[in-house]
Amino acid sequence: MDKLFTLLVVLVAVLAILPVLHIIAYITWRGLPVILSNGLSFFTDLPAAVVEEKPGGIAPALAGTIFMTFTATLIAVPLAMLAAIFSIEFPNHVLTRAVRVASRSLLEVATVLIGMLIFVLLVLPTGRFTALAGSLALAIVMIPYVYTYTELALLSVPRTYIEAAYSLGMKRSQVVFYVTVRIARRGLARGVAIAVTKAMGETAPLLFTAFGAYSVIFGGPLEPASALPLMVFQFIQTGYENWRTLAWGGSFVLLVLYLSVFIIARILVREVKY
Amino acid sequence: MVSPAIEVRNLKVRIGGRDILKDVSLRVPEATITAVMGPSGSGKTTFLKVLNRLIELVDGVEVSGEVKVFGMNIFDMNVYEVRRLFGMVFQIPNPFPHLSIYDNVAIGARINNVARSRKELDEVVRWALEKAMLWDEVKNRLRDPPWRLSGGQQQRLCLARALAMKPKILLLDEPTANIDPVNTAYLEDALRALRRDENVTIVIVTHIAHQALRVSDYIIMFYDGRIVEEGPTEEIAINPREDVTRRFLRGEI
Amino acid sequence: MTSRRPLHDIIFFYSLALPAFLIVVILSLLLLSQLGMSIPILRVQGLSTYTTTTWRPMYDPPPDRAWYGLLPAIWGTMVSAVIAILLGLTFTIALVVFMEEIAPRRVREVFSTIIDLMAGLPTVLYGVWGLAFLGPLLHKYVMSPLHSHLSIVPLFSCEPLSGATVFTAGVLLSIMITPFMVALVQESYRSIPYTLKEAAWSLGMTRYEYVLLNMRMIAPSIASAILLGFGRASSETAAVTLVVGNAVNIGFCIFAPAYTISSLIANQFTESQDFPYMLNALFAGGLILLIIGLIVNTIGVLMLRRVRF
Repeated sequence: MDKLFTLLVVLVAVLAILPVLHIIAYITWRGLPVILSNGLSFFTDLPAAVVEEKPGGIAPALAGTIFMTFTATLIAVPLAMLAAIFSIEFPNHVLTRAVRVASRSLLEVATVLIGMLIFVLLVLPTGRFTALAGSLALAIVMIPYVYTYTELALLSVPRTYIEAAYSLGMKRSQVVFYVTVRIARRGLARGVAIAVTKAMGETAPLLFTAFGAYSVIFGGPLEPASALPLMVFQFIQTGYENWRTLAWGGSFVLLVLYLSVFIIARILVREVKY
Repeated sequence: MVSPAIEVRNLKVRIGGRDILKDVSLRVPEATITAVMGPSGSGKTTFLKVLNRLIELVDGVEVSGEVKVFGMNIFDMNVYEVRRLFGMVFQIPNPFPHLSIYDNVAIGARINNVARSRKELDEVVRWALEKAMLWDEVKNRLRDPPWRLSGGQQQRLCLARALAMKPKILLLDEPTANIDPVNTAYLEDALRALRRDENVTIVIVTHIAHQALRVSDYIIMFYDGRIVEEGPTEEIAINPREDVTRRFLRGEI
Repeated sequence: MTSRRPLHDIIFFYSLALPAFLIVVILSLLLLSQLGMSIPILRVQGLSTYTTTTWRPMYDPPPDRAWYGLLPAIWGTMVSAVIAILLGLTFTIALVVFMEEIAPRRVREVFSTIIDLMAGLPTVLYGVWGLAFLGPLLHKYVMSPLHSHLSIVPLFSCEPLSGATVFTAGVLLSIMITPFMVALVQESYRSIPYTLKEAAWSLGMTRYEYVLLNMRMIAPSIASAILLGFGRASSETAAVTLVVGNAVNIGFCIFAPAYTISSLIANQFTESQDFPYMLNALFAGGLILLIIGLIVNTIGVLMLRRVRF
């Protein structure tokens, strides 16, 4: 009887992880050939008109992902880290409790709603979809991740180093920035890496903000833009074989990007020696 | 006593509703080594941390009373200025893990504006390491991280870090509790030299009676959050007034 | 005792409080904007926006000609989320038991890494795989057979025309929320004190009885995983939009295409530029999603605190 139970458990457990392995294999199977057969132009060209033979490239999506992920990180990281430092330094303040609740809520909320927020705040009043709006939406998605991981990392710094720093006459800001943050820097970097994977991989926040644009590689922050996940989402639904091919190639690129940052984040788990 | 370095009157400390220090009054003489001794839990560490106002980092702490350092009331001063009067060495060695040996010592000097140029900084670092009796052992590996050193060496490094501040008073919280006898001897030699050559006032907390007798000129006996007695070491050693002191010196408590 | 706070400390406080405050403001704006943009349609259609099934976009605004009923989308969200947690919970418990009781350390680490991989994988990749592979697979080997042989059961009573159904969405979601639920249940399982485990073994329990006992001890966190998993499943947009079929539908059969609130929003957003009040209807959908999420997550987090040994 126990044997049966064990067998069942093992089977279901393996079944549970099989999909992701298959996803990686399947996307590689359908996406890699697209890149191989199109070569470098896959990364540098615009998507071709649907009547063309060759599908063109996904340059707008790449450019958009690079720009929006980068700017979103620039906005989210300082904001979230400083807020986390506040929570550590003033743990009993009512604002700390409010930020924790806010962070948890932003983490749980459907990301499409975050896109809708920026839509109301930025797109409606200005009447245009912009890459900047997309960056803002992604930044909000990133904030709770950076906040939570930063808090965790700072809390794990042994108290004795903080006492030593104060005993040397360091002021509060010096203790925080010269000692606590620096000792915890790997944990902080890991939080940033994880937040970046989220920003890179999200589709829904961009639907209402960046909207997607494929006639130029990058029109600037004040023009609509695309991003890898957005492009994949939009192109896979079209009826055109050409563009669906691009979607598969783009899926593969996104997969590779994700796996790379995932591995980097893993390496950062090796802690500073205490 | 001619103008004490530290003068404490009616000091009371409560943490989380518990009385840790119950009406402490004492004086620490200048340019001497004063041992604050007593069994574990008698409030010695708390007392030390009141002096450099490190105790204020603890949640729910209440402090009342008067503490004067070189005639100045520390509770009226800017807390950071108070802390710069003191150098502290902690019970468990805690050199900053993310800084090299050199930088660990230098940071004390940098924060307190002791050195103005790179050359001056090098001199201060060397001086501090020499006084801590560690220079010869690390002079060729100043860029190494501190975890390559043994426990005893790390503690001497912490002493150097504190000395680089050029403090008027050195506070040591059971500094040899976790290190071997050889390094203990080094540390005690370093303290004697500091008192003799640099006129630093040293306050060392210890629960080892022998260490107090060996190293200090002046003794303050703590028990259960109160001062039991204080006086020059020779007097206390030969003829302690109180029973508690006698039992402590005999190793009974 | 405390003297004047040093000026430095005051500047320190306010310069850190500002970012913290901003984050709270962002959340508030989210709630307010969602509410504000929903009001126009709620004023015109009232609460029956949430209880009617007609979705009729017209150039003339409701309630005269057009009408935007959200019930089908709500139904789709609920059904797909329920399927997701039923399947997801099975996966979760199997994985936790496997990793904590059966697997050797190396295997456990591998599984742990794979689960972490699942947790962060971009959702559009799940969707693309679901569209091209999972949907057709379920269609051929699960839905069609079940329909042909068991169409008596109301759940299976309609003929699946393709892989894009609310059932597929539920299955895909179950895979996606599993890592999250595993993290919750595993942490709780690990915190069971060793002495209780020793006691169970000493009583001569079989592995099966022992696991059952542990699960009962951490029941609140399993309930929490269910609730929080439900919240996650209902929030997912990109993957679901690609596999759910996007047709206005409601009924007992789960082999039919449907909308979820999030797929409705994603799918109809471009349309909403042309029809007055449709955008507001979408926001009204977002509002109910927000409220469901808030309730489910709050209860879920409260349940986590009830785990006691």
